[in-house]
Amino acid sequence: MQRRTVLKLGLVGGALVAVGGIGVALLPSARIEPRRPLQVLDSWEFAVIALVADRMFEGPGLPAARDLEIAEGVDALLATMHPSTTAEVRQVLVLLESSVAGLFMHGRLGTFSTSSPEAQRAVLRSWASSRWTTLRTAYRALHGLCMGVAWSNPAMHEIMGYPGPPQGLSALVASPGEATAGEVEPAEPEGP
Amino acid sequence: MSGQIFTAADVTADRELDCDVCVVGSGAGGAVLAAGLVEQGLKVIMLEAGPHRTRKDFTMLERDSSPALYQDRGARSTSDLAISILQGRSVGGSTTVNWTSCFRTPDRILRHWREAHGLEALSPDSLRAHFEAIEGRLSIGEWPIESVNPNNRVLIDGAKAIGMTTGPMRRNVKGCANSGYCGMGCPVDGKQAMHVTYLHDAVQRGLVLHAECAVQHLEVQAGRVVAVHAQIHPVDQASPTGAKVTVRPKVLALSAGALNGPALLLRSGINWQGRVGKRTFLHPVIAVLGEYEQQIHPWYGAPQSVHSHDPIDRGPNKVGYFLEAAPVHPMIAATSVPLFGEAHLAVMRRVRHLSAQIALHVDGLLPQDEGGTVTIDAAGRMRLDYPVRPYLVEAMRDAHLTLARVHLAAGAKVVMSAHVEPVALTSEADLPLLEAAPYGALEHVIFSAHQMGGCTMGSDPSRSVVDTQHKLRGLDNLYVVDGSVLPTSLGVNPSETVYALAHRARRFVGEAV
Repeated sequence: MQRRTVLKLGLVGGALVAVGGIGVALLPSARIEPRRPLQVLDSWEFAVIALVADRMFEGPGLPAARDLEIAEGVDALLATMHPSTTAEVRQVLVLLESSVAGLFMHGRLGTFSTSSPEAQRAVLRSWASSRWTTLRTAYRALHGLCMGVAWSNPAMHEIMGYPGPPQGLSALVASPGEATAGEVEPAEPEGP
Repeated sequence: MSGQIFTAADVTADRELDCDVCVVGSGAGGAVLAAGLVEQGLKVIMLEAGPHRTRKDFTMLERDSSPALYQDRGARSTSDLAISILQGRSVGGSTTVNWTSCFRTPDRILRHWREAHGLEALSPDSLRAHFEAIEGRLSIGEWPIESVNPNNRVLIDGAKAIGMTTGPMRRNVKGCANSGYCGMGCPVDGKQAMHVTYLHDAVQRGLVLHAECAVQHLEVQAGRVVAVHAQIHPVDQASPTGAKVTVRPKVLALSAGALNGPALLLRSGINWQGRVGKRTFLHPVIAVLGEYEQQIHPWYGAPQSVHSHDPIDRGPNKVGYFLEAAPVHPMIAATSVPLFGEAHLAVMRRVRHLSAQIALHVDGLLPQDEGGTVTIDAAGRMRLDYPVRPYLVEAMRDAHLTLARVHLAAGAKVVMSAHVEPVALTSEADLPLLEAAPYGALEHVIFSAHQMGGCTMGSDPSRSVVDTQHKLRGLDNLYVVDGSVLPTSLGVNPSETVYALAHRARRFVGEAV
C-alpha cells in the first residue's frame, strides 16, 4: 500500500535503538485499543503507530486517522510482508518512543506517545530534515506507511477532488478501437 | 499443443519437472524469449514469482494494484529509502504496469557500448529486424497529438516557450481507452503487455507457466545449472505454502530483472569475478510540480505522450537527463509529498490542479559512474545501495531548474519542488531559491521506474558478467535475458531495448539446448 518501508538503521541507529530501549522501559507509554485484531504488531507498537498516524494525517475536513483505521491498515500490510520488514519498523518505533534517545536527539525527556501533539509534530519535523541520515530514513518509513494506507483508501477520493476511476471501460473491451481523449468520462461530477 | 498457467492454488504438492529451457521471470525479457523458444519446438517452463492477474482483476485502485502488481508490495526502495523503486511483479513483469513509452535503443548509446564495452555485435543494423518484429507484434506507434492530456500539454507548451523541443511518444497500445491507468494494469487490454501478447502466444504453443512460484536457489554442478529450486508463495501471504517446485532444465534463462536476477545469482553462490550486482543503473528521477489555474487532472489520459531529450548531452563530465510527464494518483501523490499534517493536506487538495514533470538522469555513461550495487542480506533478500554522487547531484539541481522554467513558461501559478522543505516559486526571479536548495539522497523525492544492469554484457571477461550472446561467464548453460545485461542506462525508457535483445537472444538460447 505504501512505497517505502524497508530500511536499514545502520550503526548509529542500531546503537540508539539499543540505548533507547532502556528509555522505553523506564517511562509510561500510551495505550490505544485497535478496532480489529492485530496480526503482527503488539499493543504498544500499535499505539505508537496510531499516534504517528494522528500527526501525519490531520487537518480541516479530514476524517480522524482512528476512524480511517490507518494503524490497523499498517498492521495488516506488514502482515503480508517479510518478517524482517516488521522487525525494521519495530526498530523505528523503539527509536521514536525512546526517552533516552529523545534526550540525546532532541534534548527532551519523555516518550513520543506521552508528548503533546505539538511536541509530536516537532519530533516528526526534526526527523524529516535531520542531519542524521538514519532519522530521515526512519521518517520516510513512517510517512510512507501512514500516507500510503490513508490515501489509498477510496474514502479519501472526494476530499482531494479526485473523481475516481473512469466508468464504462468494460464496454470498450468488447469492441476495441482507437479511442481518443474525452471518450472516457470521470466517475462523478467535479467541483472547481 | 497448448500450455497452461498454474497459480498457487493449483500447486498443493511438490512438483519435479524436466524441460529444455526453464525461464525465470515473465517480463519483457522472459516473455519474448519464451515465445521464440516454443516456436522452435522446445519444451519450456517459466517460473514467475508474482501472481497471474488480468484485466478483470484491474480495479484501477492503488489499494489493489500496489500490493499485488509491484515488487515488495509496492515498497521497494534503496536500502536508505532515498530512492523509491517502481518495479512490476506479476505475470508480464513490469510490462503489466509500465506507462507504455517505447524507444529504440539510441544510436549514441550503441556507439558508446561499442567503444567502451566492446559490443560490436549490437549495432543499429544488426538490431533493426528485431525492433521491427517487436514493433509489429506490440503495435508500437506514435500517440496522436490530439489525444495528449493536459499534464503532457504542459511539457509541450512550457518547453517550446523556453526554446526546447519535444517529440511525440511511441506507445505499445492497440485500442487504448486513454484512461490513464496503465500503472495499475490496463483494464481494457489496450496496453500490449506481455500477458496479452508474447505470453499469450507462448502458452498457445505449449509454454507451462507457474505463477506465485518464487525461485530460491539455482543448483550448480560441474559448471552447469542442474536444478532450479522454487517455492509456492501466494502474493497475499507473508510466507510460502510449503509446496516446492523443482525444475531440471537443459538450459536456464534468467529473466528476473535487474535487481532480483543478480540477487538470485548471489544467493546461489554465482558471482563471476565478483561483478554480479555491480553497475546497477536506475535512471534516477526527480519531479517538480506546477499548480495551474485550470484543472490538470494528472490522473487521466495516456501517462506519457511527449518527451524532450534536449538536455541529454550536457557536455564533458556532466550527467545528461531527459524530460517526461508523470501521472499522479492519490497514493503516489501522498507518499511522494514528504510533508505531513495540514501542509500535506493542502497539497493533496490541489492535486487536480497539479502537473508533474520529471527528469530522468542517464547514469553509467561517465567513466567513473558505477551506479549502484545489488547484494543480499542475511536472509537472502535483495538489497540495493545507490549512492547519489556529486555529478548526479549537479545534474539534479540543473534538472530542477529546467523543469521549474518549463512550468513557469507553461503558465503555472506556483511551482513546487519535492524537497523535504519544499521550495515554492512564482516567477523566474525565484529561481535562485531553487538553485540554493540542497540536492541528493533524502533531500528530495527520487524514484526509479527503470532498473538496468547488474549482469552487464561485454566482450571483455574481466569487465562483464555475460558475453555478447547472453551466456553467463563461468557456467555452460545459464543465459541472462533481461535488462540486467545493459552495460549502462539508455537515456530512453528501456522496455523496447529489452524486448529487442530478448528477440535476438532466442537463437542463442535455442542453440544451447
